[in-house]
Amino acid sequence: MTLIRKHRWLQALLLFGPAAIWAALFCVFPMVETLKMSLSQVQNYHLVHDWTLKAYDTFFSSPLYMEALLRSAVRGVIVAAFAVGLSLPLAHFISFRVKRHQLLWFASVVVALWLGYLLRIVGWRILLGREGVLNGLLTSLGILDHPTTVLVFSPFAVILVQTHLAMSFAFIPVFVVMQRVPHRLMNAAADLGAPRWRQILEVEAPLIAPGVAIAATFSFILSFGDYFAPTLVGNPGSIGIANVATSQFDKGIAWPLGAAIGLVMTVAILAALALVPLLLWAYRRVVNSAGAKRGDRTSFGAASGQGAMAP
Amino acid sequence: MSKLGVGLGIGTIMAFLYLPAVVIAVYAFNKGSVMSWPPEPGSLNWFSKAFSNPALMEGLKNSVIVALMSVSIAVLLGVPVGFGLDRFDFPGKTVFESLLYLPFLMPGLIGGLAMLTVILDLHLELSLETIIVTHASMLIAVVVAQMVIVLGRWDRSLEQAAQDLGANELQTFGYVVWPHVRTAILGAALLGIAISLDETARTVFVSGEQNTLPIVVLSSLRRTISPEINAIGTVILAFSLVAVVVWSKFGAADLVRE
Repeated sequence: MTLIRKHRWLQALLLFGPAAIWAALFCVFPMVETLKMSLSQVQNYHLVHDWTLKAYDTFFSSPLYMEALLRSAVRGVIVAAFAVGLSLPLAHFISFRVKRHQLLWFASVVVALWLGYLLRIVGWRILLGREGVLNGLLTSLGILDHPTTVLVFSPFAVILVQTHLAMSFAFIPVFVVMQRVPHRLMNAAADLGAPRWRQILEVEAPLIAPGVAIAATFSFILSFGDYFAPTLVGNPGSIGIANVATSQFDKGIAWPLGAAIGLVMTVAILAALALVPLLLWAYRRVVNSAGAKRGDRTSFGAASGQGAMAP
Repeated sequence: MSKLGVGLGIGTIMAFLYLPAVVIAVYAFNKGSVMSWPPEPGSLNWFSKAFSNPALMEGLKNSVIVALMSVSIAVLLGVPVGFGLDRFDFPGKTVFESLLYLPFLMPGLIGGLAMLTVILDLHLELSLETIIVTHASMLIAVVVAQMVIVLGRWDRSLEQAAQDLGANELQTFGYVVWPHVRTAILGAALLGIAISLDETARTVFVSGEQNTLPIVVLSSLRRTISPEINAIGTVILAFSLVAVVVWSKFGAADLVRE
C-alpha cells in the first residue's frame, strides 16, 4: 500500500495498464493484422503474406466497387441530412415549445430509439412488405390494384430504415446542445425585434452547430458502414461498399480484398470525423464575417462564450 | 407557423419513430401467421411458440451470457481508466482516450472484420469467447465515457475534506467517492447490456456454431418473418422499457441531488 501511495507512476500503471494491454491486444493488433492481410494475396487457395498492393489495385480499378463506394457515400449524406432534419425540429420543439414535462418528452423519444437494430428492420418489413400494412391500406383504399414489393425492396426503403436507425445518434447530440441554449438570449433577440427566423438562424444556430455537426457525422458513419439494410430491405441496386466488404469474407478466400476495403472505409470515416472541426471553423468564419459586415456588436464568439457559461 | 402545423409536424416525426415498434408489438398478438392488414389480435400463440423454439432460446441464453461477461470485463477495465483519465495528465492523453472510443464509433463491420482477420490468421476457433472479447472491446468506450462525464462533475475538494477529517484513502473512496460513482457505473452497465444484447454487425463476423439471439433472428430474416420474432421482440422491448425507466430514475436522482 505505501509503495503504491509513494509512486504516482505505479498508480497510473495500475489504473491504465489492464485496459492498455486489452486495447493493444484486441484493438490495435487486429488493425495491424488487417493491414497485413490487405497486403497479402491468395495463390492456389493459400494465403501468401508478400506485401503486395494487389488487393488495393483490384479495388480501385473496379468500376463496380467504385460505384458501390460512391453510392454508400451519397446515401450516407442523404441519411445524415434526413436524420438531422428530423432531429432539429423535434429537439427545438421539446426545448422551446414544451413548457412542462420536458423530461417526459425526451424519455418518450429515447424509448422509441431504444428498439433493437434488427427489430426495426422487421418492423419496417412488416409495414412496407407485400402483404404488409401499407400495401393492405393502399389496396383496400383502392389506390393500388394489387400489392407491390416496390415499397420494401427499394433504395427508398434503405434510406428510410437507415434514417430511423440514425435518429438514435442524431437526436441526442442535437437535443443536448439545444438544452444549453439560454432562453434569455432568444428572448433578448425577440425583445430587440428580431423575427422568429432571425432568432433561430442567428442566435440558436451558431450555438447548436457543434452538436449538429456531431449528429451529422455519426449518422453518416452509421449509414456508410451498415450492411444489413441494403440486403434486408434493398434491391440489388442498393448494394453499398459495406456489402462488398462482407461478401469477400462469405465467398471463399478473398480475405485480402475484404481487409483492403475495410481499411479504405476506415480512412474515409476518419476523414469524415476530421471534417467536423474543419466545417465548424469554416461556419464560424462565415457567421463572424456576416456579423461584421452588418456591424453587429455580438458575433459568434461572444454568443458561444455565453452559451458555455450558462449552467 | 400555426399551432396546428407544428402539432402535425411533430406528430408525424413521433409516428415515424414509433411505427416499427408498434407494428411489431401488434402483430406479436396476431392470430394468423401472415402479417397482413388488418391485424387480428387476440392470441398468445406466438409467445408460447417462441419460448418453445430451441434455436431462439439457445440464442437468448447465449446473448445473456455474452452480455453479462462482456459488460463485466468492460466495467473492470473501464472504471480504473476513467479514474486515471480524471487524475493524471500525460502527453498523448487525448490520443489514448480517442483510441479507446474508436471501437465504439467505428462501424461494426470494421471491428468485426479486424477481429475475424486475427482469428483467421492465428487459426483460432470461433466461439462465444470471441464474441465476448469483441463486445467487451466496444463496451469499454461506453464505461470510460460515462466515468469521464461523472468524474468531470465531481468536486475533488470533498475528498480532501474527508482526509482532513481523518479518513484514510480507503475510507475516502468507500464513503465519499464510491457512492457518487456507483449509479454512473450501474447506468453504464445497463446501457452496455442493452448494446450487447442488440449487437449484430460485429457478432456476425466472430460467431461460430454458438449464436446470439440477433444472429438467430438475422438468419430467419433472410426467409419470411415468423411472428415468433415479433413475440420475442415484444418481450425484449418490454424489458428495455423497464431498463429505460430504471435508468432515468437513477438519472433523475442524480439531477435532484445536484
